[in-house]
Amino acid sequence: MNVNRAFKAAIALELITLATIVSGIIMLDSSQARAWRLFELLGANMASLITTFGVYKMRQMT
Amino acid sequence: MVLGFSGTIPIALIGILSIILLVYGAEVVVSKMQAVAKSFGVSEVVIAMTIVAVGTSLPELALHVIGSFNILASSGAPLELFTVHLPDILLGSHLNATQELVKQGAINASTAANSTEVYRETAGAVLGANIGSDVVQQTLVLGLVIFSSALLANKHSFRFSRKFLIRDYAPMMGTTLITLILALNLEGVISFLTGGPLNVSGTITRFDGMVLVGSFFLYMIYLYTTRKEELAEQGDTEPSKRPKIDFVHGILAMALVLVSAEIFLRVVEVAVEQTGLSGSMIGVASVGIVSAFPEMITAISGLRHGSEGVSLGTLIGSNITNPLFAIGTGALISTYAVPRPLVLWDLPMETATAGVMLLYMFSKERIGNTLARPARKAGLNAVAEKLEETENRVISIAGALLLVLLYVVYIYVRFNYFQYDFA
Repeated sequence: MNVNRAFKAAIALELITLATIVSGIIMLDSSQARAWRLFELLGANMASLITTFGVYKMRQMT
Repeated sequence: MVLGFSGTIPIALIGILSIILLVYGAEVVVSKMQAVAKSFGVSEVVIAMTIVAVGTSLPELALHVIGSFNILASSGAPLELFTVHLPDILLGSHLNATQELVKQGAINASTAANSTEVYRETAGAVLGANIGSDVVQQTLVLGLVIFSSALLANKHSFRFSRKFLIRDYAPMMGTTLITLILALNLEGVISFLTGGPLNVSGTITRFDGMVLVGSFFLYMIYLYTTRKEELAEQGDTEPSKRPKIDFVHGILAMALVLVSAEIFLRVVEVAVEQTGLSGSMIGVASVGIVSAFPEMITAISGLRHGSEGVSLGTLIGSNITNPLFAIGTGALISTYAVPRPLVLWDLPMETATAGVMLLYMFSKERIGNTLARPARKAGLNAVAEKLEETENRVISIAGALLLVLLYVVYIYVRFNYFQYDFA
């Protein structure tokens, strides 16, 4: 697998995780979401998505 | 009491001395270790990616590591903190873990309360020092460097290379943004947006620490695979002639850095008790400012030798290492409670400054041309011509001074409106 494909796969995986976490937050009530620590996971997932996407874009631009 | 002294003036002097030794010691560690590595034939690329990259953030890194170990030690049962459930270790805070230990009977409630205080004060001081130093570098130091560079070259403006903006400046903005996201209490943000109270400062958990450190390594890999020639330029020190002696000097300087960090954190603890100032305020006003000076001196001396790219690269590089590696490592050890001013002012201000600057750099020409049209229609031909002449990626002396002014605004607002870490 070349590097670009690996990046695309990682971004897709992170997007799926993000969608799952967001759906969890919407569907569960707040105490359940807190118990599953979905808000902490949401922040970490968004941050790692920004990093992966950022590095992918920088590789394309340079 | 710090080192046997209890008076305000002696403690303040010890605090100032500890910061100077922290920053000076880090400089010695970097220069000695660079020379030793060079004498053993280590490549410039590896030196730049290890010693130089981490070394420029050594004062902040030392504060984070020592501070985090102090937080763990304050619980009285540092190892037991890692025996709670794995999701709590990874996604919970130090507070959750100490409360769990109280429930299990491993520590008593008063020890847990004391540990909470140490946790908040220390996290405030080290995060304040880290982010404070980044704001100083991105506004005051960058402004002064651009200003000096334009003056040295006898010009009225400074041109950034496209490469620099994409490879260094944009990641710096991204780094600030991800630190802000991780520092926010997202549940509190959602609640605030739906009419709840403003409770948006969260915890940087160990999992967040993994994301930060992981991002640092991903960025390093990106640098390694795409800019070898520039990394090579960064480590142009002479090889050591006495590697063993220099190595010992480097180790002693490292010990000095760690001891200074420990003394500084004790001074913060006393200062918070005696003055009522918040830990993050002390961090921003002391280490935040002093630790930015070596980067400024390095950057300006680099400009004198005509190496603008490397010079600014080192300056901005430490703004990437500081949050990613230093905060990440500290969070991996102990987790951090994030002070309110950090998420309400420091990080948003830092992200917005970098974002606006980046956007402006890449769309200056378009903005100039758009504004030139109405100016020409209004008969202001001279103004229109001036606007049409604007170029992308160029910042004038006035722009550089604006960055310095922004720093003054930052400090003014910080000191007047964000005095307390935890409400």
